Amino acid sequence: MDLEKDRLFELEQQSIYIIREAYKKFPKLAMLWSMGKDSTVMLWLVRKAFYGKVPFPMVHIDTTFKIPEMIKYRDEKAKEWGLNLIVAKNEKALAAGMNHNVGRLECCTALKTEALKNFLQENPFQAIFVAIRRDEEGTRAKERYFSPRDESFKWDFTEQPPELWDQYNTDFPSDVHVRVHPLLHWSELDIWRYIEKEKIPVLDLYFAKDGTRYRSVGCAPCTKNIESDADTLDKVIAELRITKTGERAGRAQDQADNYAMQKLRVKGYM
Amino acid sequence: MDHSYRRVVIAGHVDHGKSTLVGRLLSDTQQIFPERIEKVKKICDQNGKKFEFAFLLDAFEEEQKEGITIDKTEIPWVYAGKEFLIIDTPGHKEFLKNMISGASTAEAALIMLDAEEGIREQFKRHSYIVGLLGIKNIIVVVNKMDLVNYSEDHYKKLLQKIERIYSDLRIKAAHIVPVSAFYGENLLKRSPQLSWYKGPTLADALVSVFDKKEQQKHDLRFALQDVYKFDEKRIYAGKIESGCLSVGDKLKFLPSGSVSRVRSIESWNTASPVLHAPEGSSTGFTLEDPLFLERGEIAFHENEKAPAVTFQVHASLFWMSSSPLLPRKTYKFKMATQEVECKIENIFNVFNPQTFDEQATKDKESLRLDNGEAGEIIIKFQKNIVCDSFSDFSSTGRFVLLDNHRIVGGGVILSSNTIQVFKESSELTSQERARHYGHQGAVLWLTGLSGAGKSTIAKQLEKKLFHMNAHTLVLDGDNLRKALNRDLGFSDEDRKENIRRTGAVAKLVADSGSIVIAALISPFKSDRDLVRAQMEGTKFIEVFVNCPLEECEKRDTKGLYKKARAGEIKGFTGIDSDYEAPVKPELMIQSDSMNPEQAVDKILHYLLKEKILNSKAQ
Repeated sequence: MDLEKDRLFELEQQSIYIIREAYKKFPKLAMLWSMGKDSTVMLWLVRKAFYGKVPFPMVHIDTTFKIPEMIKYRDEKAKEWGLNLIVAKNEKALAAGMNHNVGRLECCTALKTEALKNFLQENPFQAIFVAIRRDEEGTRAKERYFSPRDESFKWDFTEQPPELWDQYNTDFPSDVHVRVHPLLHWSELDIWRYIEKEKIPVLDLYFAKDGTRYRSVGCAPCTKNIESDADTLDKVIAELRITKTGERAGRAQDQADNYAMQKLRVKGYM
Repeated sequence: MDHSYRRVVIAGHVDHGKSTLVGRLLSDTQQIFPERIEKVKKICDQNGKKFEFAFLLDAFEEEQKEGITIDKTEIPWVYAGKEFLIIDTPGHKEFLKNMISGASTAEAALIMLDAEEGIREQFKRHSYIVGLLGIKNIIVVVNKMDLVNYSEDHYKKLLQKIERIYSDLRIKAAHIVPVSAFYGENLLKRSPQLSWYKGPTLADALVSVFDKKEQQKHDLRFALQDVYKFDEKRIYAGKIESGCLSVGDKLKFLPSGSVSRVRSIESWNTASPVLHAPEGSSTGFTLEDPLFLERGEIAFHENEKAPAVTFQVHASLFWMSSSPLLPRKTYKFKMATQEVECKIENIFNVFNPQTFDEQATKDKESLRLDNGEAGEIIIKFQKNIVCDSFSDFSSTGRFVLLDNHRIVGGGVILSSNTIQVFKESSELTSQERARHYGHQGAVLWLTGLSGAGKSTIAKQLEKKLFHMNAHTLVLDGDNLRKALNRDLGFSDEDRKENIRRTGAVAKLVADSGSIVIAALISPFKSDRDLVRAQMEGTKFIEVFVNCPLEECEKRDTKGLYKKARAGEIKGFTGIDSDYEAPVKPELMIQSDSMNPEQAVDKILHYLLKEKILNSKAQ
């Protein structure tokens, strides 16, 4: 369908524009890469924006509980695509025995939010790219493309700057940390259609084996697979067109509390 | 720009039926799962409520908490094979900032109006903002026709009111569609109850506004974002805001004035080399000459319309900050990829959406824009910028202002053609001149219908002033058109230019110490306000020479009314072109009941009172 191709073109070009704006405006810049489909598409767009180059580091916040296939994929692609890969962990919390049994929200906060916070304190990147999308869940829908955080990385969603047309606010005092969200306007279906169009190699975990597949990937203990026979891109896309459940329904931390994501994100979760 | 999704913003007063309309559009086109409708019906039963289509949207919110995620603020809708994205606008308190963020990219607007309740404040406010954002495809949805017995008479009365308000706001509704969203009447299908309505259904109206031929120009505008030096190549990266470019094209860059040809369009992961980049592309290319160019340059094709290079523009602005916009303060101006420091020279025609003052003009002294207000401004830049008027090119005609790292205002350029008088650094001050001549310099601007007596009054006033030893000069519209303005006709555009030039000359002469008497029909308020706004300290006195049209037509000293009535002259003020009377002129001369001598005396009296003329001069 031509209409859909146009939409993908429009999404792609806008994201490239945002990526280039951030690259121009923030000399100290990095990108969060979780090896999931979204951040892999974002990485693909970076390669497109800079004609095959990746001119800033990719950061993986490693909880050490990731599904093993993810780590294998990460190391392979980092080598193949010539990435400057940085792996960051909250060693202190891990040494103290943090895991999901302590509590899902506590575990996410320590091994993801805190890990990221610590990493950014030690490595002064003024801005980081994060591959969140508005349609993922309610609080992300309220985000901006260029979203400032205060010194403790808190997000003030009640007092956000306006964003008009494509005049993004890229002008921040040097002590403000900025989250840049180039995929904010994409939907889950857009991501898959783009993966299909560009033939982007994504994790095998997304495709069904023995009647199940992952719709969203994360830590092994907190990510459930779904029942599905979609073992090809076409089938995944077909499945998404008729699905009635949310993308993150398999992510246990979201369900820990009605407002779990809001609570996590205000503190600095991705 | 050709959006694959047709972006439609929906606005209007709180209970005028936004949610019902969207719910109904979705369910009548089977774009909402029947299970969902059943579920909402069940919830309604449990709570003892009657089912309403509006609840379908509320249900989204409930379901969001359960992990089903639908971006409530942007709802996709497909009709007649076309994809629409309906952008819901949030509640009115944070309206301006959030609505503008959401709606700024919309190409059409649906503005809801409750037929029974009639026009409320928010209807006007939303209409105004939508107009200001440059959304030209406006559809007014006159909803709840069922509550007024589908009365054609009622609709017609509303129609008149809407048209009057819209003409005040200088916007146009493409369609004004009577519907009952609740019963789904006139949304997709015509309703027998509304058989007197001959226009399109709401859905067809929506399709048609997007099918309309665009007024916008599609000449090339490429905004340079960055220059990459990869592998010995110098790649000029940026966005094609308008038009398209191909390998071999000769490009001219402004403000630098550099010219070169496109050697290659860069690409990655494509099967064959890219030779062409369409509108909307974030592209990158190399040039035959390695030009040194900085971010902010705008490229265009030399054989097409060139953008303006200017240090001053006239713009509309909406303000979104708790600290007011003040003149003389420095702000950062951002447009496409250009960023320049600027100062606001003047603020006029202030509009407050909260109060909706129809006269729209605050006291001339209060030069500021408060949070939520909009107005017209003259912006002066620290260095030249490259721009277009918003009506020609949207993306090189719209901008934001930043203060202290925050976006505080958004606006559109009305014209880059301002008076632009360079102030020569003179050794003489205006006080010295005033002492020498015995009077101050000033511009008396006589406006009124043809035949109202402007020229007669101007000439007599000039004579009187001359005999009082004052330095004075008449700038007569008709005479100016024989020389300085002989290239101009009577289109709105040419009239604007006529007034701009006359204003510039009037200011120059007044600054030399003379009392300038400009006599021009100058029918449009905005043009006169613009001249006033650019006087920068030069005294400007607007004199409304008021004479009823019937009287002017009876006098018809030049026989022009007769010709206009006969259709021999087109666009004649008062006949087939409007005259917008001044709202608060400094002086009004009722020239049908006052003879020219009395009029001259009244003006002299004013000049004495304002100490422009020295009382000794008499």
